[in-house]
Amino acid sequence: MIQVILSLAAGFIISYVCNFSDRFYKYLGKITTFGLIFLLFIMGIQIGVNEKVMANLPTLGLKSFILAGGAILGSLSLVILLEKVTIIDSQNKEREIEE
Amino acid sequence: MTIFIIGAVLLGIITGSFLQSSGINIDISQIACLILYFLIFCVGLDLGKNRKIVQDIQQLGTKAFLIPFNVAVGSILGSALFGLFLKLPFNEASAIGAGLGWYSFSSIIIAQTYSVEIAALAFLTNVAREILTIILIPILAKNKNSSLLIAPGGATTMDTTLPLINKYGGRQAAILGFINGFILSLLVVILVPILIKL
Repeated sequence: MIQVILSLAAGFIISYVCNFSDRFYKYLGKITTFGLIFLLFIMGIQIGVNEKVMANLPTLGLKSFILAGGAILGSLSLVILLEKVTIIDSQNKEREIEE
Repeated sequence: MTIFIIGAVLLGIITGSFLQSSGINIDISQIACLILYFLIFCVGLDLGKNRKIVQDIQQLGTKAFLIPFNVAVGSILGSALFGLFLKLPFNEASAIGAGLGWYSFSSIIIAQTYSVEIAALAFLTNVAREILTIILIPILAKNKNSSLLIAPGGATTMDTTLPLINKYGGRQAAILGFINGFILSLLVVILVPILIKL
């Protein structure tokens, strides 16, 4: 948790102070895309080498996806509800911020 | 892009199980951590481009704090409800849902205080949540609504799924995601031990 916060803060401060060119951010986007794909591959390997996960997959696999699906559906439903209740149109605000 | 994302995860799982079955023992968790920190550093660089970040956070206001609360309640209710179909008691299903994608923590707590079997299910459920989240983020991004983008990830939106959120939802979504994941990580620590004891 601390490492995550420090990594984010370090990147933010360097970028805020240094005022990089637009070209830098274009390359940054490309590097992060490659890094992201690689991270997902590594995360997959971590799941694959985990004996506990792979051994339980036949019996608990379906159950776990049902429970995860329930948790995600519940989260999405309540957040959509929150969006409807929120008086200010968040999408308009997002467009303003993007501009 | 979505196909690359799912493909990378699947290829990893296949590679991993192949490595495991051929008896090659490698610990790549450190490599995974380093790549993750590097990517989060990159998200930081991207956020720093935005000169109006303080204004942005102020504009997000209370919504940024209401989203994680809704995600937590939604996850617990959703998994408890779906748990009924699996004939799981409320305390087990709700505690598993309260893991919010943070598989290492929730399964360790449940294993120590409750049962190893339910801990294994908690572990797998939260792994499944991460996989489903990785698949859902590119799909939900078509909606242009940052709140929806961060809803499936739970506590992972401050670390493992943050680079993905930044890529698909931009800086606004990344800020929301980080706050969301931070608050939810704190809630996991409080909620899992309480719910499993009910």
